[in-house]
Amino acid sequence: MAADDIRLAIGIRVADDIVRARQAGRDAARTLGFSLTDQTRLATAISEITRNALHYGGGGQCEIKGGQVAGERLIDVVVTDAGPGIPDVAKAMTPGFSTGNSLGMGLSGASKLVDSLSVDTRPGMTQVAMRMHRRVVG
Amino acid sequence: MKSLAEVLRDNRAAVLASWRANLTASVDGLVGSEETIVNLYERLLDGFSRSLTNSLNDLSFGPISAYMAVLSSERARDGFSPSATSRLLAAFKAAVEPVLRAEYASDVDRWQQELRKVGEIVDQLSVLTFEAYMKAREEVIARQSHAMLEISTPALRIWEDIILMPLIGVIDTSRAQHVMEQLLLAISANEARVAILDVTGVPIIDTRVALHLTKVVQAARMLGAEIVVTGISPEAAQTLVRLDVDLSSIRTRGSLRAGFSEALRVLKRRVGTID
Amino acid sequence: MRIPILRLGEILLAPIQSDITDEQAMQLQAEILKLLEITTARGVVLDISALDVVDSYMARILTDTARMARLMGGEVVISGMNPTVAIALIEMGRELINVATALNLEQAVDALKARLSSFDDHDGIATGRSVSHGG
Repeated sequence: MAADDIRLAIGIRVADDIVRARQAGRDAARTLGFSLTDQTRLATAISEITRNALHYGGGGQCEIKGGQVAGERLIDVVVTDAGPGIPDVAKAMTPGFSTGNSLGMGLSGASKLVDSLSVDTRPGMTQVAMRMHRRVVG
Repeated sequence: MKSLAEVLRDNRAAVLASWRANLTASVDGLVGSEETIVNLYERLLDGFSRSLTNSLNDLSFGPISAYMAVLSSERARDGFSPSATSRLLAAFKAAVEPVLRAEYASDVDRWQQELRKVGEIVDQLSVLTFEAYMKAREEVIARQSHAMLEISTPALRIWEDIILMPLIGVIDTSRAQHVMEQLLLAISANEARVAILDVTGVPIIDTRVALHLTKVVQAARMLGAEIVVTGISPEAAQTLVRLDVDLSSIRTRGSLRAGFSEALRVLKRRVGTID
Repeated sequence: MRIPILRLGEILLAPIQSDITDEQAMQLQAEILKLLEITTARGVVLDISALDVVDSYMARILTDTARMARLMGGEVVISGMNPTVAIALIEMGRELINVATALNLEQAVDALKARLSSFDDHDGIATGRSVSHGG
């Protein structure tokens, strides 16, 4: 488990919160010593997932936890909403799949930017967990 | 009857002496400095006196585990093998055995029980030693490959608005990511409108490498720069066409010289002699 | 906060100064199109050098704006994309396609000027252009 050097939660209720969440993710990654490219990857992935939570889930929460454990820096992001759930996760993960206003792209795109992404969804709750970890090279 | 910890405490001098003797008898005495042995002994004694189980996970074995792990990783970083570290443990076990046999001569069951306890802990410490050693070696390797990545992708500014990145060696996915990152950063830092990516030193140009090249070109275009790939050998050209890889969207040239001309052409510049 | 759009002759400059919301991006798109309609401007530079995140939504808005402007006879150049942003977009499989780009604002303006004057050559119209485009 990650040492909780960083632990914060951002409510996702309006479009501004997407910006706040992705910038908080970038700040956290920077604080933990992730590279500039990784900071951008993480911020972009958070942007995709929190937008999904806002547009499809009607809003929710973005939790960011990170720290350094056993020679690895690690960051966990969990985005939760209380929306209707994703009916077909496999389909939602297909690159290019989109519904409505070209939104649903988020999942497949985000999954390519982080080391792991898992989705737990059912009517009334969707939770997307992302993790990025890097070995600390001294 | 004394407990195992009490036996170890009361026979401290004897066990230490015989432990030391066992070590000098073995080929590699390097690891067993007096300080190391005494430190290990204190921590083992402490562990045995407070532990409730025969498992290294027992909190009271924390200090000895940590000490062994550090010892082993230091040896790995210094380039020694892990076997000497486990021989150190084996020598301890051999030194304790006769003391235990004498102490528990009247109670065979108890003797067996305490001997097993020492054996189990020593075995688990040996495993830990190897794990710590492997981990330290992996860190060394990771650090070295990181350093190699850094050296292997230099970006040189060779002309106003033109940079050159010569690639040497096999391009795997992690290297391709690094190349993309370094090239884009160099383009941005130098405000280079053309970047020449020379692949003369890349032994195999296959579908996978071609895909990476395409991505680099797309990424550079988003920044506002053009890429010229040079050093496509006849063999590479044959392979790419046979594999039906289409690189027509990329500017490719056979030689670095032709690539440089192409770069100047993109910039609408010309180099000539002064009369 | 509104994103300022500066006008420099035939060119509109929109320097996006910080991370912006979806609404601000949409608003910017609408304003650029409106200005293309009501002014003589035909070229647009969207400078995104201060943007440290361009996700698929933002990428879509940028490409859409370029396509929409083209339909109105305008040209959009996106300048100053951050290298790490380009990497993230490529990795997501979301590169900007068919959009003119430049390393910085200055090169974007130069490129646009060259482009606009070459259009005029094709049209057979000389450099004075306010009459034919109204506004």
